[in-house]
Amino acid sequence: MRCEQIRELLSPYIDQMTDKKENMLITAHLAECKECRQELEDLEFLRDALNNLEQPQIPSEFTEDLHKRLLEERSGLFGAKNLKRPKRSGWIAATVAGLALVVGIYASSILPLGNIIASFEDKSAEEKDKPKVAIEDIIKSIKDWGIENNIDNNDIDLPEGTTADVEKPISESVDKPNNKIEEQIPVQPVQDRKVPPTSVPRFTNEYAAKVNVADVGQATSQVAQIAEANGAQYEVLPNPTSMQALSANNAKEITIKVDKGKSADILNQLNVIGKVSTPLHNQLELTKQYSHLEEQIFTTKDVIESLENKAKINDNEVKQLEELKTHLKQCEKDKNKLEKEINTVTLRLFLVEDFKP
Amino acid sequence: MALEEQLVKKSLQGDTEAFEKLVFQYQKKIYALSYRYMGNEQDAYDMTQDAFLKAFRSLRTFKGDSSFGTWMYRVATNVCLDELRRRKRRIITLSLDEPLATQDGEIEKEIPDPSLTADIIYEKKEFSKYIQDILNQMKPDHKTVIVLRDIEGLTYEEIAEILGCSLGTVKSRLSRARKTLRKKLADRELSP
Repeated sequence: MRCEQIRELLSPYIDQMTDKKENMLITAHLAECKECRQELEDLEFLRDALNNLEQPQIPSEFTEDLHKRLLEERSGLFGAKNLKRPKRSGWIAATVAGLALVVGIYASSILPLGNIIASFEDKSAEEKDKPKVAIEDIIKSIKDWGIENNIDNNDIDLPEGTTADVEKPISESVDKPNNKIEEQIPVQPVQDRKVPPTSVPRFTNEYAAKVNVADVGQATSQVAQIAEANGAQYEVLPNPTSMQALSANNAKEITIKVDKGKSADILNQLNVIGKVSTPLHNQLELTKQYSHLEEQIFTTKDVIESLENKAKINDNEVKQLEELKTHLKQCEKDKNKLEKEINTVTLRLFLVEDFKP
Repeated sequence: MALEEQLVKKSLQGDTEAFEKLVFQYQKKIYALSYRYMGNEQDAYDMTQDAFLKAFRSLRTFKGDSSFGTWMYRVATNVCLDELRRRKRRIITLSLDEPLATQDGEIEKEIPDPSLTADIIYEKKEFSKYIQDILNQMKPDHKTVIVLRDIEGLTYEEIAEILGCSLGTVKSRLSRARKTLRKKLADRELSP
């Protein structure tokens, strides 16, 4: 074999990229050819030298600069919408916070005043001056709301005015995005996406009221009967959470979950068993959680559709498709749960006996 | 699922934090690669930034057939070569492999005198500069295979994947590139 042909093979030879036959030819030639041996040595020297070149040091500001540019890039690619899935634990915390607020406000308005500090008396005086909302008005607003929003689970469309006469929603504590992303799906760049579902305001509603009764035990079973008659779920809490309730000799806390349309009827019927205080209304806004789920469902379906429409999909995509379908199912399940929450009113009743102010 | 795969998945959803973890894994290698292609720190910095941004933007095209690292090498190689081609259109570049065309006809190029003696070229730092100087003047396709194989140590298969060519092409291109590099080094060392 001629030197020229052998030299063509020397480069792959030093990388062990020649086959057995070529290796034999090269070895035989090198044994006889000094020039080709020199060329091999040079190539090996060069390879080693290149392999040991000093590594340039990346400037320290690289990470920060890239971080800024990535954030800019992301806002362009993914739009302003954050498609993070609502975190369940966040809801629980929000609900607890919401309840604490209700109970707190409620307790402060009816807390025994006897020996409590003067500032509290001043506050109580202010409370007296405030116009009280008659229970009838509240019931009417619930009734109207039930009529206006008599919608089935698949098509919830609350009119915007429904929140006009109630306390400010406590959504701020709920909607802070989680830093940790739990489970997400690929999102198409904004410009490629079809029109996403629109978001309308969605809330859960809770009314808390004190009911002064003659006999807590008897009242509890009466409340249970009323709840059952209205097809509502109820739960008697062993230890009342309200400070006010604790101050009574005998107290019970009952929560009733009922369809929107029936909550006003139940409140009316409760007047039979005792004196019902003005209910405090609290809302938990779930608009973002709901629209996030809608987005997730919408986008997941879109990605599934595009994968299923592909003529040929690889193993990775088959796996991805399965994951997406599971994710879709979970999102739909979560959405149904959320719809149920939205269409249900919670009545939190504190049955108190021998209330001592 | 492998950690890298999870990070890619999260990055696809716009999670920059996950993407930055991927960047951290490869930034030194990509910067070194860009430096070898571009020949100076400022350009290497800019190209590395651009390469990662481009990767973030076009992550959907990463199908997971190769490792993320190989794919990232491909992105960075394309970004650097595109830039070099763009510049070539604007300025006359000195190439060791081609004669320099001027209005007065073709002239033989003069390679700048490295004024390095045999003693100091073996000092690592100086030798790196010396090699870089020669790399800067090589044809992009020769430079690419030298950088990927001899400096970065990638396999022929990975290089074929990155350049989108066959193994045979990688073999022959590398052989020619090494030959050129060897010749030029020898010429320099012999130059007064």
